[in-house]
Amino acid sequence: MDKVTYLGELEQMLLWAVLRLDDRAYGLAVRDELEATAGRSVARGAVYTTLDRLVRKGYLESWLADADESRAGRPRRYFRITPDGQRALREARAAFESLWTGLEDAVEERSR
Amino acid sequence: MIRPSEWLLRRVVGDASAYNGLVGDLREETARAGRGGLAYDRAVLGMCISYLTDRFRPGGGTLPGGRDHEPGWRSVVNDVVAASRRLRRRPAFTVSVVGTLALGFGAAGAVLSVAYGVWWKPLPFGNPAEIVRVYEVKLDADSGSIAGDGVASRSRMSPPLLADLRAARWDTVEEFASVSGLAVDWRVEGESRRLSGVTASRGVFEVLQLRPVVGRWFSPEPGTNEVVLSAQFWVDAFGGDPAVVGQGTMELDGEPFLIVGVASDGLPYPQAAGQVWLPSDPDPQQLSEGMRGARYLDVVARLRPDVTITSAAGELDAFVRNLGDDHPNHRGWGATAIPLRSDLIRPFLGIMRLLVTAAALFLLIACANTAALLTARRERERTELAIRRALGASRWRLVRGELAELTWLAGSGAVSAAVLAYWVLTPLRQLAPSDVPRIAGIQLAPLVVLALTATLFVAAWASALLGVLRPDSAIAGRSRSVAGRASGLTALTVVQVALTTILLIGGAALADHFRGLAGADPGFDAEGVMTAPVVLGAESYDEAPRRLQFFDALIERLERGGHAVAVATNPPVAGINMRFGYRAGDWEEEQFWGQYHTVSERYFEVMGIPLVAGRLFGSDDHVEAAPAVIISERLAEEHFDTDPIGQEMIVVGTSREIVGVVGSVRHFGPDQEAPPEMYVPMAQDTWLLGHVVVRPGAGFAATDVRNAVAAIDTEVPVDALFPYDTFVRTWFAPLRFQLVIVSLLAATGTLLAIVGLYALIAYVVAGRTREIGIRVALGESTRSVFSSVVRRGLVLAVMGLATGGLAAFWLRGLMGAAGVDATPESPRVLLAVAMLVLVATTAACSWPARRAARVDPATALRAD
Repeated sequence: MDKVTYLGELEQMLLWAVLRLDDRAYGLAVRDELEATAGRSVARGAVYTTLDRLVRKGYLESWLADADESRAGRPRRYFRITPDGQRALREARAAFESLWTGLEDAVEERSR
Repeated sequence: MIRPSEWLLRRVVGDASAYNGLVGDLREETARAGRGGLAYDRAVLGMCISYLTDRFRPGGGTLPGGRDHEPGWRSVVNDVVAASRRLRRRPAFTVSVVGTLALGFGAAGAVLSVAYGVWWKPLPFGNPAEIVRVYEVKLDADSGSIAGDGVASRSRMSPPLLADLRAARWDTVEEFASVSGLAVDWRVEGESRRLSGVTASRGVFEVLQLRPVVGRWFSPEPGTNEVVLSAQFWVDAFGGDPAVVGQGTMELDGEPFLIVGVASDGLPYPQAAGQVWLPSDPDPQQLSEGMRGARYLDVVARLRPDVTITSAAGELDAFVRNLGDDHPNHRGWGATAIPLRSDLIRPFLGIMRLLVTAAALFLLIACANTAALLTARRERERTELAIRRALGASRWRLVRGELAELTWLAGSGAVSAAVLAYWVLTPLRQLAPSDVPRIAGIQLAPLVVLALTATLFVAAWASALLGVLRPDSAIAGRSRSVAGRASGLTALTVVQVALTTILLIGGAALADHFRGLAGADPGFDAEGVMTAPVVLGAESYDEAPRRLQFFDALIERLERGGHAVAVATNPPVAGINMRFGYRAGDWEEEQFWGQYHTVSERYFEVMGIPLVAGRLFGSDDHVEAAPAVIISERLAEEHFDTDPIGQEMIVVGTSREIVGVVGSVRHFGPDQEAPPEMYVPMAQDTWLLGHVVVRPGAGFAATDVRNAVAAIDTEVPVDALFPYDTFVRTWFAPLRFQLVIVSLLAATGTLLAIVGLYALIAYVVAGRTREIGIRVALGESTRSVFSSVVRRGLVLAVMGLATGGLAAFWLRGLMGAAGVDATPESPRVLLAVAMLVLVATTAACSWPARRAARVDPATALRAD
């Protein structure tokens, strides 16, 4: 049996953000995107270590480009989601939705 | 260029492309926020920490090269994480332990750093062990050898003796040099500025093996006017301009001096080193036979390599004894050599020993306290450990957990202690008397930090192993009674109270001593008196009548304002020592030594020194009048069986009639015997140096003295006027330093002891909840429950007090060594300490006792 790995919450959010940004996804932009869409600020260190982990798991791939003056000549490291990453994201969503099935009403009522 | 923080990040991240993208992002982010390099560095370091912690996360691990962790490594990490969680769950316990360790080790670290810097650290000279101080020693008249340890009979050397030493051939000594204090006037931009410094033999820097910061040292040819600046003065006066060295000149006391070099600051020797170093070339007058008795040069020597101090001292001693054959002034004298470092710190050894002992006691208290807290906690967690064992946790696993926890505690304790010690050192440095050698440069000593940290960790690990491997630990739940289990704790608490008692007794005895000295009659009363030293330039005031004219005019001008004014060369407790010879007609051969003063008429009135017999000086004691002298009571008692008034006495070669006797003055401070003293009218012996002392009347302004001096001669520089009390305060500084340190340690020690007592009593009360519940149910009053708990604490306190009180006997010798003659076991001190400890104990116990008294029997009986 294949080893089942679940995506963590931050991992999912980062994959979404990379997807949204299309080919403009580098570290700083990903953080801005997270803040803008999810409305929460994430620790800088957590974002980068998690992006690295996603690359190691094969869910993201990265390349360097666009060095410029504001970055002291350092390139940007852009991220792109891999087919594995897309699948993992879909699976995570499916698992999530199946967990929700039949519970919407219950949660609605309780919270009322 | 790569920044250090970036270098670190590069190592931590490993992967080059990840690193480059990361650094670029951080650059962009800081630039966007408009922040500088500091914010950037902080961001980079933050990132390092994130990556490092990520390595230890399950599923994390961006190790360079993508290596996976060993399972063993991971489990250690788990232990550490779990331990930190356990500690965070018990903030009160964690804070108490870390706080105790921080206080104990921090205070010890600070005090030991001071001791290290002053005491153990080698002097900052080349091959410092080869430098010795050379003394001429007055031999014991009967045995012809050096009396006792020789400290009391040591004397400085005279210029002719130094010349003899330098001219001779030596097996043991490479070179001699002399140093003496100096004040010169620097004419700069039309104004006179008083500079302090030293005048030293041309070879002094070679003897010390010191390197110039810039330039060179004195040239060996005598007669060249050269000056070496201190680094600080070079910066202050010349902006640190290198061009000034080798080319610039300074007009000092009316003569041009070439600036040849710059010497480093903060040297422990010579202590008088100030702004300038001038070469001293002996002039023929100073080398005359009569000058052989003028022993005022501080002489140091560089020994040849591999020569022992004993052989050097022997060669010197033989040399000086031989001189006695031809020169009567050296008859009955020998010489000795003392390593410079031990000679410099000798006066402070007592203080240092006292401080180190106090710090060690304090450290022990902190350790006992920590041990008590740990034991109490372990007892509380017996059940938990027993359950974990029962569930299959191996003993090793439990030990590891305990080790991890103590490592956390020791680590946090060590870091907090280092911070505390660093923070404590600044006030400590400022508080310390400035004449303690090297005190200004004291820093947290790495050696001390290392040693204390190692001690801390070793103790922590040993405690972890002992705590878990004890045969009865964590195996059975409640096999012993609470009382039985608490016995170790009880012993610890008693020890802690005993140690605190010793510290408190020491502190109280010091305070007593301090009060005693402050209240002692110094023989003069200078309250409200203001003083300023005035020094006349040697070239314009080379004749005594001119000097007298100046000082007379100054006194007259100031007295016109309705103030009482006098001038004196050698006022008390000012750190001046004019030890001159005297004898009386029928003592002929014998020469005695006393403090010599030349004073103006109203000196005794201004300084509040009482007349005992005869008369004070008046306007009749002028230059042409018969030479007069006033002696102190001490001198009178020592040498005159009959009334001394009217008798003749020879003071520094002049026969004088004794016209009066005044009260003895403790010239060297409240704890020193009053020396024999002789006072000569200023008119009959006027010096270039005069301390103006003013007992102000109404409307006295601080600038009055300056204005009066300027009105007579604008060329004469005046230092600021200051209250005479300053001298007294300066004298008390070392004592106050000891007192503050010991009191601080005692106060904090008491606090720690209270925490320890509290922990113990709280623990005992918690264990006895059921018993107390039963007692309350059976009708015992809350009041009686309360007092039974407090009583238990008081019994321990009394045991500790008794142990500590006995141990304090041992303090007596120690305090004596530090120059404190208070008997620490004096009843008043003991009573005060006992009261303090008992009150503190009651306070520490009353909180758990209140809790015990409020036990609800129903709840208590249901408790497990």
